[in-house]
Amino acid sequence: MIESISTEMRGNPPMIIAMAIITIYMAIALFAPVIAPNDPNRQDLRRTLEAPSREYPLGTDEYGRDLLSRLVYATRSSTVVAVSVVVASAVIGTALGIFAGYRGGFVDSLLMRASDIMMAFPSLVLALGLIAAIGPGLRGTIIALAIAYTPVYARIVRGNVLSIKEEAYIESAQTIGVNSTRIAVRHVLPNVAGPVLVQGALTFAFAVLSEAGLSFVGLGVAPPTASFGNIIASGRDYISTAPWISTSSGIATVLIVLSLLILADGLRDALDPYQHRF
Amino acid sequence: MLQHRCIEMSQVDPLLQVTDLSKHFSLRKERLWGGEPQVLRAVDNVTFEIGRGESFGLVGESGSGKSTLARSILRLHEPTSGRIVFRGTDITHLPERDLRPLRRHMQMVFQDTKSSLNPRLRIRDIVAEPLVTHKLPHSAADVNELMDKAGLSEVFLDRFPHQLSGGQRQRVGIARALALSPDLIVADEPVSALDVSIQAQILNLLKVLQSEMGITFLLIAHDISVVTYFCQRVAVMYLGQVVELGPSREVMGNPSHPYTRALVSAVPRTDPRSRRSRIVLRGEIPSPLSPPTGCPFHTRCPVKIGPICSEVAPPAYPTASGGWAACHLLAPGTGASNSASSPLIQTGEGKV
Repeated sequence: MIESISTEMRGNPPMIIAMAIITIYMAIALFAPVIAPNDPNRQDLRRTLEAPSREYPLGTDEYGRDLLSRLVYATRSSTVVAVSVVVASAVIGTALGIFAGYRGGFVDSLLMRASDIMMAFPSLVLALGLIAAIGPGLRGTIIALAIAYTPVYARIVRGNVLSIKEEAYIESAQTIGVNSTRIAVRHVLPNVAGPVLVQGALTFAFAVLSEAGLSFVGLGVAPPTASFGNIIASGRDYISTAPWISTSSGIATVLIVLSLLILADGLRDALDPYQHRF
Repeated sequence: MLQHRCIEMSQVDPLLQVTDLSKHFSLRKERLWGGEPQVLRAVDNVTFEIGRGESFGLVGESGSGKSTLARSILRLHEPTSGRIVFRGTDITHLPERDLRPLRRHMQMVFQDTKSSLNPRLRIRDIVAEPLVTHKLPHSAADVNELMDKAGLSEVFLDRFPHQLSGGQRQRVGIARALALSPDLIVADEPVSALDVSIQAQILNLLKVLQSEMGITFLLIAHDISVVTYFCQRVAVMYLGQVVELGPSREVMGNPSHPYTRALVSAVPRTDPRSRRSRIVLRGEIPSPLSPPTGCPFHTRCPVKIGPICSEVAPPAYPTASGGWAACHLLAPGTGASNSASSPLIQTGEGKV
């Protein structure tokens, strides 16, 4: 798997750039306190809405806070939400998908109908509804988005399990006497890892976007904690006088989402069984 | 089907006894309302036994139920009816938990070498998996020895299946099957996906293993010459039923059932001067969803005698070879021949 990904990257320069951008974002999120030049929440009401300068490279917002530092911390909240959502939905969705696909029968129908119902809603609408029930904030956003993205994994994994189940190596494991839990973990799971990885990159992008959207309408990460969404929202009122607030955060969001989509695309090309190169 | 049992060559020590085994699949209904669920008779009342150390062959064209029979014996399919006795234990409906210890003694070699090895595991892990599963003590030396027995170099241990050729992968499959030193190996078309030159190597390997380790083999093939080379006895399957059973050399040299004759006549000959006329069967094998009444072969039989063939299922008659065949032509007193003495159905070749 790693071989085919590195082969793909060699012939796909945009994917290398995307990987570099994602790595930089991760580093910023991880080392935010070290990287941020100022305290993101320190207000200076004498210096509000300042244009970019040497002291404040991206200017200041309506409370005179350093926008660059706020963006650094926004990267952190965005990453925290997205990583948690991706991990939670991938683990739960994959487990459900393997269970449904491998078991079949009633359990399968039940789980798949439930996922159909959830997938009938656009994921952002579903997340909005769930947040209304769970309550807004960082924790609510993570739980709501994780639930909203779980059915996609369950579906993808189940479909793959149905075909893997027919492979002779599963029969072979059965004749050896391997129990079904071990078959699922050792023989089925590694063979669905490819599609899950691709979906993981996609979900990451969607989660960043959804978190920004939810924070924009005030249901996601709550101020004063910085988030791409609430920075854009607060800059909205000053778009003609201080356009750097919304634009810088908007560009940051677009850059990471685009990079993740390019990565997902490259991973799909690398791991697609129909263009496998042995 | 009682007669089968009487005629069956008496085995002193049967390792596997299969009695009246059937496997029917019920298919999903096509329409939402009404319509009977269809039943596919993949294996229908099959009876045979395999003695310890014996090689038993199953031949028949694709769709005749050979693989389903093998998978039912290994309990990869739940048998619909009948009885499977392995090592003296009735395993027909044994729960998986109780079956697991017995699985050690019966292993399978698969046709599709690509699909039978997990692409994400290294050869070392594939070969060692049976030992790990049954918690048997094993060392790197044991795995090396298995590779050696299967005729594979140890350099392959750290590779992945896709880095090996078809013949090498089949050797890995054999090494895995040998890991538990089983009594019975079911080989489902072990060579038919391989190049002809490799086929002989793999068959010879299996033969050596059989003579050295005394493993009992159930070999499935559509190529009757492979079975004759490898097996002492052979059963010919058609549409889920065994139509002829007997010592493979005799069945091959002197087939009794018209279907066996057709199969044998299709084997290419090395001597161009011996022009034995080839029996070409017309039409397709009937659908196992609605098998013909009477003899399953009557729709294609070149020597059909008359209405009896399509009305009455033929019982098993003893053949000259010491086996039996299910064909009305063999009935004592039938004009065509006499079952007790001479080779049967000498007529009929010219008819096709």
